[in-house]
Amino acid sequence: MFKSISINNFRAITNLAIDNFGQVNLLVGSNNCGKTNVLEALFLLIGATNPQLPLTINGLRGLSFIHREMWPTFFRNMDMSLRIEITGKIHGTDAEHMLVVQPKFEKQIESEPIEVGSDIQSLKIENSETLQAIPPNGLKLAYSNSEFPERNNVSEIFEKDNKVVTQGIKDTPFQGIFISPTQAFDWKARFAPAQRKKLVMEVVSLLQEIDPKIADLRLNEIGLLEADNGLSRLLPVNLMGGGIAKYLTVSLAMLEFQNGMVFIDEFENGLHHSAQKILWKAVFSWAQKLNVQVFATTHSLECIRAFSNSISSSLFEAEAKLYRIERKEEKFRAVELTKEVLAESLASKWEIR
Amino acid sequence: MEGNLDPLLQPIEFNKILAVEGQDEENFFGALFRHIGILNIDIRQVGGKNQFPRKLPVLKVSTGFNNVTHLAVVRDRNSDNAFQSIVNILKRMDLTPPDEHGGFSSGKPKVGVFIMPGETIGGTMLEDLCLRTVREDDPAMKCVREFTSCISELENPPKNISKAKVQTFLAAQPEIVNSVGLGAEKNYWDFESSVLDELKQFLGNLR
Repeated sequence: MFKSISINNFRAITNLAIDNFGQVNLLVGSNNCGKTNVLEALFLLIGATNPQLPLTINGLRGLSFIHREMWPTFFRNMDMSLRIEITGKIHGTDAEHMLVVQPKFEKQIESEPIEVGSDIQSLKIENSETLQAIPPNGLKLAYSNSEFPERNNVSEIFEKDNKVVTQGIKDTPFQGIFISPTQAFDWKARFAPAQRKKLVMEVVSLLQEIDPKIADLRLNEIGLLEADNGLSRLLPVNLMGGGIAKYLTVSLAMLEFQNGMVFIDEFENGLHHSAQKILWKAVFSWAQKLNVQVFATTHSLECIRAFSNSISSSLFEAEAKLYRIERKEEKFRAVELTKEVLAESLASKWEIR
Repeated sequence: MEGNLDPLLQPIEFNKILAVEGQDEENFFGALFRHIGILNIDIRQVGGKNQFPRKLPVLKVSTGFNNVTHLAVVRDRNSDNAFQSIVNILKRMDLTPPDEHGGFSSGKPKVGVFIMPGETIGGTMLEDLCLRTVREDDPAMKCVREFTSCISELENPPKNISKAKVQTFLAAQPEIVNSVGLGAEKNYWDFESSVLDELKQFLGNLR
């Protein structure tokens, strides 16, 4: 589980450090303060040199195209001369996990092939004059773990002949999944692990909180997830409303990524306020039982209240934190609220978003 | 308040905050600030003197505290070491406390502490200060003196004589209110009294 993260020059964030993460963490803050950027940064770090992840997080933003214009979108102010550094520490260790993302230039492919195991600290950044002269055609991702300094891995993703090519070591030190409010969740792919672990009924019992008639879930022959809700035939879950979809998505993610991490952008999306507390209780319960670390964002006061109220009612014993990301021009900081301070803030009716 | 914020949650609106015990103090200081021409102060009630240890840390993490330049804390003296009690809370919060009563620190934010009714006035609470602002020849004070004399003969007199006196004074006004804060809003206390000089000097740091 992550204890802390430090982010430099990623998306909107100049630099931001967050410490003392709990097992379940809710990020709040005004628009454009960088909440989702924090989730994306954590997600990139757990994937380390998985070169597909930058494309994945851009896809979640609706930037699914492959074009030279895409590569700068990861860098602060689209300035690729500023290398991205994401550093995380894990609870219980002093090890630093560091991901450095830099632009990859076509010219370098011919003259400077990346060597596996090369020292990431020595990867030099091209000067701005060079950047202007040679547009980047991809990204280089370099990952290091301070506990194993000899195992620095580098991968690349770039365009070649109008296709995306990846190469290098794909090191993914942690497991996790990103749930976006803008992209449909692949229930088909995620249902099988729950089925294998015999956890489908846990999902069903959660869905029953919204629709008590749901008795079972199953994949049909064409890979469509269907629910038995007492009708004469099974009903595709896609037709059952946003609440069911959200419950299903979060529960399948939590159940699959045991000992991993789940990132939920805009937790409240698709949920009636009464449904949010139920889902938070389930999240706390599974986080504890399955050792999942959760990072979520929200703008909603109802969601924050549900989060706070669910901590005690779910008998969650680990730490749950709320962080407000604050941005003042180009300066970022995170304000930490323990569950006790959060409860007191809500009781005081003092603004914490 | 900004339109996108929930009206049930109170954002920190100004960069100067006064933390007080309760509604009575909020009303009193609101009226005093208006009288001395100090505007744009965010007054926050903590809900009683015992709540400072819980509520000051909450205030520090509230939205907008990062912009706060001055934090003033006012509480009643009562019987314990009130000034040191607040200083200890501030230290635990990693805020720089003032060196002495009535002063402000030079930290960010600057923090000041004032214990009612002040070092130069006898008594232990806001009520003592308010009553001292009233001239002895005020007709209503005769009622207060006589009432005080009367209750002194009771077998079980009121435990808080200061509050009893204030209530008597307020009850002797043309329009009765039942608290010092509301009394302040009715201009029943003399805000020009020199008794308030020490407090006004402290509050002047928020100008």
